[in-house]
Amino acid sequence: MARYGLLIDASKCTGCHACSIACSMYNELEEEVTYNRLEFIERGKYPNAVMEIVPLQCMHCDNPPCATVCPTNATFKREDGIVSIDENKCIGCKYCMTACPYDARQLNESRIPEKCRWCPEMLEAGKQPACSSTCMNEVRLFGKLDDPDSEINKKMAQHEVSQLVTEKGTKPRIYYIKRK
Amino acid sequence: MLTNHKFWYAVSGALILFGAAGALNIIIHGEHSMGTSNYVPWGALIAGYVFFVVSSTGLSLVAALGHVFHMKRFEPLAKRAVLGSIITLLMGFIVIGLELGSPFSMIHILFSPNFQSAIFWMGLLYGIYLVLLVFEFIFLLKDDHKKSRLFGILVLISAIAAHSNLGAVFGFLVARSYWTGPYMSIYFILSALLSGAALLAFMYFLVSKVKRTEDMQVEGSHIVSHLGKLMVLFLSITVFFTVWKILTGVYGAVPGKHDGIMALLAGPLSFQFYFFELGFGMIIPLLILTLPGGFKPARVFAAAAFALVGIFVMRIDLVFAGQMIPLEPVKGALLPQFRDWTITWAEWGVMAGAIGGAVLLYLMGERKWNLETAPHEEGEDEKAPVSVQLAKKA
Ligand code: SF4
Repeated sequence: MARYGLLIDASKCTGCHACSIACSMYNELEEEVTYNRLEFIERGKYPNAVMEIVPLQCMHCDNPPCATVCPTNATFKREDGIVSIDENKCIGCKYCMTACPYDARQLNESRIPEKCRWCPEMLEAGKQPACSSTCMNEVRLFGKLDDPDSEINKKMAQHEVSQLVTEKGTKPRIYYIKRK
Repeated sequence: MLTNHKFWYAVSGALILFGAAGALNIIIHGEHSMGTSNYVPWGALIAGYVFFVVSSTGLSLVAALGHVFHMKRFEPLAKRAVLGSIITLLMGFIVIGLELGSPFSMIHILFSPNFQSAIFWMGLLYGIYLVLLVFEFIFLLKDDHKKSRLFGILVLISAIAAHSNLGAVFGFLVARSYWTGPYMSIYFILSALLSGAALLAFMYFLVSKVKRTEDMQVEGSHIVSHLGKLMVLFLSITVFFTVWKILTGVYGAVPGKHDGIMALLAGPLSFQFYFFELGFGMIIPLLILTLPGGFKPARVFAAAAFALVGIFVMRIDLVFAGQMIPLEPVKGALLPQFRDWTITWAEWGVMAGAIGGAVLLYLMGERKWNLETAPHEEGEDEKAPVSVQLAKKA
């Protein structure tokens, strides 16, 4: 069974939001709802100010607090590492929303806290998730972490990488290439 | 007016109507009719739920003083406290039921339980607690002291388990440092004692006025005075807990925790914190009770009324201070200083309706059952009080 992960090179992100739009279209979401978003950081002072952009979404944690707190196992970790949701089991307590340190959950019209599921149908068809395949700058490289020859592993070997909010013990599956 | 049955029926009816309108609005419009968001997912109904179940736990704990620990002066409380405990728990369930997106999926708690989830345990433990409470009440009504005491002990254990676990629902949230840790479980139990004593003093004062029997008037005013003394103790404990929560929050700058405390002290929650939580909830009742003549029933009643309002706001503060500080997964990202939240009319309605429901059910209970408690004399378990014997003869 594959172990999926995502490598993000945020320094290449132009902030075009194509990933967010692709996500919304693929998941047929309401207006302005998306499972991945961009966070902006201002660095420095004018005239030497720069804007850094960091794409953010569900990290498909290996120790997902959202699944730990879910009373009915509606949120669960698949063998391939995707953190998924069985909406029939969800009672709508929103405990996963309060438990996620990344604010990754979005309540849908049926009052189910939804999130990125890494487009499982696309993966089955051998494609990349909608956000990754849409990004013009190849900011998002999706792949198999357990395959030493995978693109993602090769690229990770070439760069220093970091992860977000590791201090909460979530063990995220998304890596970020460190900016120079 | 306050001593008139009809007045209370009218009040509860009006509140229930308001509640029904709010509940309908939430059922039809879902989350849109609530003041929550993706960033502040738990709304006022969570605070309302906590308020009701804290009341239930508090009533059971105070009832146990007489009924389980044989503190004579609190023995007459048992039936009313246990009835109140059942009713407030049921109202809490209604409030949380409306907060849940799909309450009917609760059935999966049985078929697909996650033993690591504090909400799973919350469902299970409060379920057990409710069943035990009902048994305790049945045996109390039968004046079967042996069995009712046995169930009283079980209720006490389950109340502490269920309620401290409710604290852990918050305390387990590693992502929200305002809540993380064992503090919540301990604080919930101790503040439940204050809720219980205040609610009982409030109830008992009114019952002793509405029931114009001489027994009840004498007994009622005695109990209310004793409850006032208990309140001083529990208010002091609550002050103690609040002071240390604030000091440990201000000290250092733990992200989330420090900002949450500052939201209370000098941010958007400060008015409600100082005026209601501290003023109504602690300082005013403490002053009313500790100034000379403070344990006169009317004074205790006033202190209890202030404390109950303060305790309600305390729950609101607790729920929102934990969520309104934005999480910062990307350090330095541009974020609002505070996340927005509101309490919508539908949410006010549901909480008001639950209070109305509690009043109505309680009035019906007073009507249906004899809630005077027989004295617990050793070896005389079957002996009923004079009032019960007279009632039976009649
Ligand atoms: S990022 Fe949030 S929603 Fe995604 S697996 Fe981790 S805790 Fe769950």
